[in-house]
This record gives sequence, structure tokens and C-alpha cells, in this order.
Amino acid sequence: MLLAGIDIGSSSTKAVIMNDRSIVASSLILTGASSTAAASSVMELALAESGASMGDMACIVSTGYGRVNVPFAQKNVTEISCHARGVNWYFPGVRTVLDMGGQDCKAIKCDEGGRVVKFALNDKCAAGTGRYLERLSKYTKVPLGEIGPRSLQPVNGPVAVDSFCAVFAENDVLLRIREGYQVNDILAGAVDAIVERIVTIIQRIGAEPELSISGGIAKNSGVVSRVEKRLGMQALIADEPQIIGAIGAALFARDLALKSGK
Amino acid sequence: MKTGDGLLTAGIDAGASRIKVALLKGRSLLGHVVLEEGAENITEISTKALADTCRIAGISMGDIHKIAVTGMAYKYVHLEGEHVNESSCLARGIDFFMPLARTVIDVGAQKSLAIKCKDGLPLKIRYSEKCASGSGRFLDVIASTMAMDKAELSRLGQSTQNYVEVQSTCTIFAESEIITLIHSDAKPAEIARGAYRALARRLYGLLLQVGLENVVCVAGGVSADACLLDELAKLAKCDIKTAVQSDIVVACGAALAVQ
Repeated sequence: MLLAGIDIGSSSTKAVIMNDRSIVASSLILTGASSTAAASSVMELALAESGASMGDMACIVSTGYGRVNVPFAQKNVTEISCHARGVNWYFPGVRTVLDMGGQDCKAIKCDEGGRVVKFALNDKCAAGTGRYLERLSKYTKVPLGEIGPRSLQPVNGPVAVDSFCAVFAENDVLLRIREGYQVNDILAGAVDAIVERIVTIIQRIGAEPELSISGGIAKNSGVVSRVEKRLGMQALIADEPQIIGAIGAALFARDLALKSGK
Repeated sequence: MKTGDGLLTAGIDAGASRIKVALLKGRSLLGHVVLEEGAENITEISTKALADTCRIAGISMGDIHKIAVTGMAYKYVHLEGEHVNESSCLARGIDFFMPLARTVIDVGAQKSLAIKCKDGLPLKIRYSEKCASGSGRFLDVIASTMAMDKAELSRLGQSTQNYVEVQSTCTIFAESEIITLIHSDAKPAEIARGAYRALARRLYGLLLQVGLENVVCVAGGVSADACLLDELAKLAKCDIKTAVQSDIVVACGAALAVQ
């Protein structure tokens, strides 16, 4: 039985095709201006990789910020539920999920079945989201992929950045650069500041082992290692941390297909 | 050190984007200067602002009895002065310009400060978080996203009473939301009005925390914006006054605080 999950995030859109409980194909593209168009393109890519066609899908579930804009999905499920479910498929022992995306950051506590027990969310403020790192990259002219490693190699120690606000970070960072501080030290200070924000969100649900980090920021070693240090826990990270939500959606599609098949 | 009415004191309000200096002898304002910080060094520019003020007032630096420094960037002002907190300065300053004001909100470039006050003393104080959404910076970002300056944004906003809801709190998210709105069918004037309304709602929230009591007054760099005052008045359901010379209320309050 073939199933598909589509996760439309604020910055990237992901599709996963599963055969029962195994991944057959996955794809990831930038969301761009239209969620509906992104959903079709990402699905086509995944279908091409799997060699199947749309008609072969027993059920399709959408999730994420643009989940209502997927006309070919039978149902939509919140990203909170999908992340808990997707992480549970990857790492059944995980009880705390930290998902950091392009525009929000959520901490989810889940049970052994991948069901949501409790969650806390920041979707109001860019601090602690991918957007902040994108801005930091723009202000410091350090490519996004290098921010993590460089923030872990300060020259003279982290430079305190006054404000976590992504707008004010511009003034703070430019001022520090003008004052002659090393870029690595400024990056270390800035990443320290947003990790503090992230940690307060996790503390609202209470972190329990094991911990998994998903979403785009899971690829930022600077954020990951600081969160691990602050929580005193190693984080489990999937090979492709950005498709966790889509995996969860495909598993919900499986539930739905099995239910309607009965 | 209250030694009489005739003392010559200077108040320096080093904000996030501008340096404001006021020179007072007793309760007479002898001169004031407001300088943009731009990319310049705050230490140097504050010294220059004080020197300029002295020149305008026709006195020499040596005549100043005492200097008071306040504002977010006070640490960078390396003049021999006493640090006074902003809420005390705001309360004293508003008492100087508008003695009847009881609730005051100072809208700055990086944060806002609301106080309830009487006779030049703050009775209740609330600072906004260091978040651009409740500061003048929000309007700067919206204006530049709409490819205009703040004066144009204000005029545009005032041209209508209708508004489009701007839902994002974070300025960064609001920027994307505004771009989406521009490309939808929304009217630019209603987007502008919506942005003012969003900021006014956050400022009103801060005002409620100290408690609204007439007369309500706005100070700081953004306070002269008619569109903002209009939206704030609608929410607060009362008249909102602007302090005369609202830019230098805090600087005057600082000077008065060390007399």
C-alpha cells in the first residue's frame, strides 16, 4: 500500500512516499510564493523517484503551515502531531522533540506511541527560528551552512549580543563588527542568545530523555551542540531531519487508509 | 543636592538611534540638540551634541554644574555625568512640559516605556521587551518594505479609516506578510493603516499594564505621527496628547533630575 505525506513549511516543502511503513521516496523544495504550486511540484518529484503515479496512492495527508493548500490531500493534520509521529517512527525511544523550522520553533513531549502529550510553541518571534540564522548570515556575510561550525570556534570567546530580536541583531552585529570583534566570536554570542530562547521553550514542557532535534536548524551544529550542552542530553538526529513531519503525515495517511479499507 | 532654582544642568538622552541633549537653568530651557547616531561612534557624537548645545545656549562647558545621562546607550556616553534611569527622567520631563499628564508612553527606536506618574515621579513603570514589534523600528521596516519613507506611510495610513489586519507580531514575519498583502488585492492605504493599528495595539497593551488615567500623553521620536496617535486614541477611547518638543522630554527630565 503506497501512502504520501506532504509537509508545507514556511520556507521548504517536503514530500515522503511510503510503502506501508518503509520510505520509498522523498523530496524537498523551497516553498516560494504558492503553497499549492509547491505541493504539486514536490509530489511530482517524489512520484518520479518512486516510479509510482498519483493514482497509486492509497491516501495522502498534508501537514505544516500551508497544509490547507494541498488540493490532492484527503486530510490535513497539525505539524505538532506529525512531528511526534514521524520522530517515533525513526527513534521509538524519543520523548522530547525539538523542531526548529524556518518560521517557528516547537518543543513536543510525546509518549511511546508517538502521541503528543504536551507541547510549547514559538511562532510569534523570529528569534530561535531559521529566519534569525538567515538574518545573521546576511549581516555577517557568513554563509548559512558555516554559521554553526564557526560559532563553535570562537577566537577570544563569545561576544555578548544585547538583543535576541532578529531586527535589532542587525544593529548589534554591525556595531560589534565595527568595534573590531572577530566574526566567529560575534556568531558565538548570537547563537548563544537564541539557544537561550529555545531552551526556555523546552523548559515549558520539561525535557525528558531521549531528545531528538528535527527541522532545518537540526543541520546547524552550533545550535545542536549548545542545546545538548544546556539540557545535558545527546540529541538524536535523523539522516534527513527536514522530512520528519512528512513521514508523520504519511503514517497518518496509512491509519486513514487502513480504517477506510475495513 | 537641591541647592536652588538657578543651577545649570545638562541632560543627555542616548537612545538607540539618536542622541538628545537639553540644557536647563532652573526650569528654563536654554538650548537643545538632537543628533542622529547613524554609523558614528556614540561616545564622540554625544560629546559633539553637548558642545553644540552649549554653543546654541551661549555658555561654555565649564559653566555646567552637573550632567545627567540616561537612555539605552548611556554606557557609551563618556562625559562626566550621573546616570539617571529613564522612567524618572520621563516622569520629570513630562511634568515640565505637561504637568497634567498622568499616563505617559515613550515610544523609542528600540523599545517603549510606559509610566503612570504624578508631580514628576513615576508611580508605575513598564518597559516593553527589547523587541522591534513594539517600537518605532516596526514602522521603519514596514515603510521600507512598502518602498516609502515614514512620513509617506503616515500620510497613506491617514487617508483611510479602513484597515487590513496585520497578524504577525514579529517585525520580520510582518515584513513577509506585508509583501504578500501588497501582491494580493489589498489597498496600500489599508495595509499602512493596518500596520499602525498593530503597533498601536501593542503600545495600548503596555499602557493598560500601568493603568490608563487621563491625561494620556505620548513622547519620544514616533509621538508626532498623527496616524499612530489616531489609532491609539481609538483603542484607548480617549484623547491622546503629544508633549510639546516630545523628542527632548527625557533629556529635559534628566537635566531636572540633577538640579
